[in-house]
Amino acid sequence: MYVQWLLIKRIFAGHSPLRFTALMTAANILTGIGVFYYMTVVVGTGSGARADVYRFYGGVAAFMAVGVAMNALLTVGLNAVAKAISDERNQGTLSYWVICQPRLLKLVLQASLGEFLLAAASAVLTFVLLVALFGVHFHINVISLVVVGAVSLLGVIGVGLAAASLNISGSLGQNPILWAWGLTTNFMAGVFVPIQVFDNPVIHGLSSAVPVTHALLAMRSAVLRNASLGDSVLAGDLLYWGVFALLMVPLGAWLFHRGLQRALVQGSLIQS
Amino acid sequence: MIETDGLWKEYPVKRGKPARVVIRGVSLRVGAGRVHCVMGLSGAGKSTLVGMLAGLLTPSRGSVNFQGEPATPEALRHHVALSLGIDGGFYGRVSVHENLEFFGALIGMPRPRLHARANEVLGLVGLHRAGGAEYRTLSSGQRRQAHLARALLVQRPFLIADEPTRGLDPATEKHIVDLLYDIKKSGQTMLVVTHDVHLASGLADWVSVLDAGVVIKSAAPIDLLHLLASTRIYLRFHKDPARAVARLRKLASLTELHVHECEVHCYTQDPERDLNKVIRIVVEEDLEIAHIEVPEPGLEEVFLKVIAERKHLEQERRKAAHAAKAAH
Repeated sequence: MYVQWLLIKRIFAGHSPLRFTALMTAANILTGIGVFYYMTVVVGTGSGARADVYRFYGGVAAFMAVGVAMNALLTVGLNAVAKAISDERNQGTLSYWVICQPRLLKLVLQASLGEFLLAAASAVLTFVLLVALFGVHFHINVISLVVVGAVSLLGVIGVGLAAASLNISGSLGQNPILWAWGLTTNFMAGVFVPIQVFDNPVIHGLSSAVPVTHALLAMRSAVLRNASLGDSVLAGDLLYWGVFALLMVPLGAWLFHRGLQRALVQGSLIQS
Repeated sequence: MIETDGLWKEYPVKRGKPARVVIRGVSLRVGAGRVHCVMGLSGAGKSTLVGMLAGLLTPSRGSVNFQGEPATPEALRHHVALSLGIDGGFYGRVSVHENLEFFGALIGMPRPRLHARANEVLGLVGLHRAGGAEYRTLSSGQRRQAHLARALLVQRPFLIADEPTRGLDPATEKHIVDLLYDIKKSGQTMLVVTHDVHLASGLADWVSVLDAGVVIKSAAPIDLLHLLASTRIYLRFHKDPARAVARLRKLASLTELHVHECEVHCYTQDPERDLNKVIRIVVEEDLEIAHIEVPEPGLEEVFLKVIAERKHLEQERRKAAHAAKAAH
C-alpha cells in the first residue's frame, strides 16, 4: 500500500505543478461540455433509425453523455499505462524500477492506477455536470454497471500494456496503438451518434467491429436502461467487448514482456 | 565473484545496415571483496559495459557469470546495487529523502525501516543537509551523491559505481573517496568506472583500460606502474612535425615514440639528457612548440600511455591500409 501511495504522490510531484494540472483538467472538462452542447444542438435527435436509437437509450443527451464520459475514461485510462512507462523513461527512473522491482508488470499497473483514478474522477465529474446541465435521467442497474466497468478495466489494461510495450523500447513519439485507438473511437465507435447513421455498409461494418462501440453501448444499457445482465442487447454488447478484453489482457502482457526484452537488447533502459 | 567472458554488444541500427559494435570481446573478473576500476575515454563503451553487468542490457555474445554460474540479466539485477553517473533517475519535484524511501519501498524494505535508512545513507554520502530538498534543485555533484546513497540503501553482493566522484567539490570528493575506502574495507565487491586516476590507483585491486570497446590493458595498479619504466616527454606542435619525428626516431636513447597528428610522446629512461636532445631537434627543424610537459610517473601516465599506444597503432594500421589500397 505504501508503494501505491508513493506512486500516486509521484504523479502530482513528478509532472507539472498541481495548480497547472488542476487548471488543465478543469479546462478539459469545460471543453468537453462545450463540445457536448455543440453536438447535441448540431446533431439533434433527427429521425428514422438514429432517432430510434436515441429514444432507446433515453434521448440524445443521455446517449451522448454516457458516450463522452465512458470514452474519456477508456482513452485516458489506457493512455495512463503507456504514460507511466514514457514518464519513467523520460526521468531516467525506469532502469531503477527494473532493478528494484522484479515484477515490472505489476508495478506499471500500480503506477497507472493513480492516473486512471484521476481520469475516472474527471469522467465522473464530466458525467455529473452533463447530467445536471442537460437534464439527463438515468436508470442504473448496479450489477451491470459493475460488470461492464470491470470488463472495461480489463480491456483498458490489455490495450494499455500493448501500447506501453512500444513505449518501453521504441521512440517516445507518437504511439501507433494509441493513435489507432483515438482514430477508431473518435470516428467509428459512436460516441455522439449511433453507428446506424453510417449508410455505407463498409463503414457501418467497421464501426460494428470496433470493440469500443460495444463497450459504450453496454455501458449505456447499464446506466440508462436499467438493463440486467440477462438483457439480450446488453449481453450481446458485453460478450463482444468481454471477449476482446479477455484476449487483450494476455496479449498485452505478452507484448509488454517482449517490449522489455527488446529494451534490454536496444539499450533503451540505460539511456537518460 | 563476477566474471565476463568474451562479451560483445552490438546495437541494431537499421535493417540492412551493419550493427554498431560498442563492446568487443571484453573479459574481466571482479573477485569477491575486490575492487575493479574501469577507465577509458568518453565513448569507450564503459556505460554499455555497466549496463550489461547490471542486467539492464543483454549481451550480443559472450556471457556474464555470477559466483561461477552463468547469470541472466534478471539474475544480475537481483545481485547488483547500481549508482549511475547521470543527472536523471530520480523524481525531480520530490525530496531526495522521499525519493530514497520510494526506491527503498520498491526494493521491498519494511516501511518502519525506510525513514531511518534513508537518513543513514544520506549521512554516509554527506548529503543529510540536502535530504529535504527537491532533487531538481541539487547540483550535479549532489546528484552523484544521491545516486550513491540509493545504491547503498540495501546491501547487495555487487556494487557498481559509475563516476562516483564526477562533478564534486574537493571536500565532498574526499568524503566520497573515504566512503568508498570504507565500503571496500567492509568486503564489498565493487566495480568503479572512473576518470579519476588517483581514485583508481588507491582504491582498485585491479584496473582495466577500455578503449573503443576493447580492454587494452588490465592489471593490478602496481603492475601498470611498471609499464612506466620510462618517463614520457610530451610535445604538441602547431603544425605537422613529420621531419622532426623522422629525426627523433633515430635517437637510440628513446625507448618508444608515439605520434598522433601534432602530438608526440617520447619515452626515455634518462629524461634530463633526452629532453635537451629532443628540444635541439625541434629547434633545428624550426618547429614552434605549443605545449611541452614531462609528467610525473603515475597511473594517469599509464592510462595516457596505453591510449596513446593504441591511437598510434590505429594510425599506423590506417596508413598501411591506405598505402595498400593505393598500390592496388
